[in-house]
Amino acid sequence: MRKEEKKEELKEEKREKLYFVLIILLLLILLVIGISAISVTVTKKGDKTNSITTGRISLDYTEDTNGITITNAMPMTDESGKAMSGTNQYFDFSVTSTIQGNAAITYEISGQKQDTSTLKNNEVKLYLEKKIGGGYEEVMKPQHFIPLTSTTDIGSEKGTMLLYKNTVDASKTDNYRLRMWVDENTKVDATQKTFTVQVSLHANAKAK
Amino acid sequence: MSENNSKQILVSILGVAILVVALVGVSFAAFTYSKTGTKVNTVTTGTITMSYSEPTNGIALTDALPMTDDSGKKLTGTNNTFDFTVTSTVQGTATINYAITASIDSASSSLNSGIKVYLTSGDDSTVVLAPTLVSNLTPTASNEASGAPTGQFVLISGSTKTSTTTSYRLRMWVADTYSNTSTKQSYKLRVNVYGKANAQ
Repeated sequence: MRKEEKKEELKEEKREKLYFVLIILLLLILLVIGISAISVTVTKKGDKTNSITTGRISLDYTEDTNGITITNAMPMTDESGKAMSGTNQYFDFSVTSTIQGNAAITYEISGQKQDTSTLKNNEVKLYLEKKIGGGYEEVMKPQHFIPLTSTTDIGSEKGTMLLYKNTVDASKTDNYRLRMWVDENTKVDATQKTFTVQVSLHANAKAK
Repeated sequence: MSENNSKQILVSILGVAILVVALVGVSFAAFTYSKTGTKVNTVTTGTITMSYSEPTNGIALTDALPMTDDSGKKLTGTNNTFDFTVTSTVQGTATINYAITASIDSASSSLNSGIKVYLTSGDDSTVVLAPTLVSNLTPTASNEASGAPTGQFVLISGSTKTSTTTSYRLRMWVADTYSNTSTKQSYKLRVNVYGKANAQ
């Protein structure tokens, strides 16, 4: 008899504990969904409306009509390369951020080298400027193509070159100008060689 | 037994809590954006080549005696003149600095003051270098624009921006001012061509 009673007691204990766990579970789920489990009977309706309107985040990358197309290029000093201003000698593009709400967008501009390129990474120089005020200012000094060794947190892929990283917390448009030339130490011979790059944009945003 | 049950309960609660946190994390994922442009940006190099061709025979004067410039300038025929051609091909905008030089065999250098050289171009009609003692030629410097090394003598130097082909004729003779003719001596000279284009 005693054994039977004890068994019953244990069963009861287990049942109680199970109920306890289930209750905790239910409470947590309700927390996620955001519904109050407690109903309240009120006798008065409030006058104020409490509402939530979501903000908006968007990003847009637009390119100018012409990319860089330089033929019969000879090795060039950085001073000459930075000053190139003729048609097809530079590439303009823009990044437009739209932020409604309390958030910040971090974006990365990267250069993707085409596999058809025959010039080596250290035989070309890339240079990036950003429009500030009425003119352009340097944001990346002349550099050889330096590929990333791993994909960044923002998403710029391994093997591409990170040109510039920026964070914006208000709606705005950033204008950029890219130039590219043959490094002054490159030896030119009887064989034509090429280097081709496409620009990519990656970004993410989070609440401030 | 009771302790085991407590542990089980704790583990269950923890598991549920982790699940909830994971759900919250997934349901509030960050905004992401990724786009690769369509415009390709391409740089293509030009080309530069320079070549120097020389005939099978060079100058081989034997039993040469001092000679006036007028006679030396008129030397013709096999082994009396040395003809060569320099060709440069430029595709793109570049300035090639070039030099045609003479390198003297070390055993011959003591005769530099007794040998004259004379260089013409075209159909032997244009004088590029008037009859000049080798010892009076300009020696190459350490930072020649043409890239020529030191220890040589410049016959002609200049620059070009276009593709060109020029034929030259070199003559060489014992100067009429040279007096040591009692000893048999030989003089060996080699023609070299150098070219270099600097970065713009």
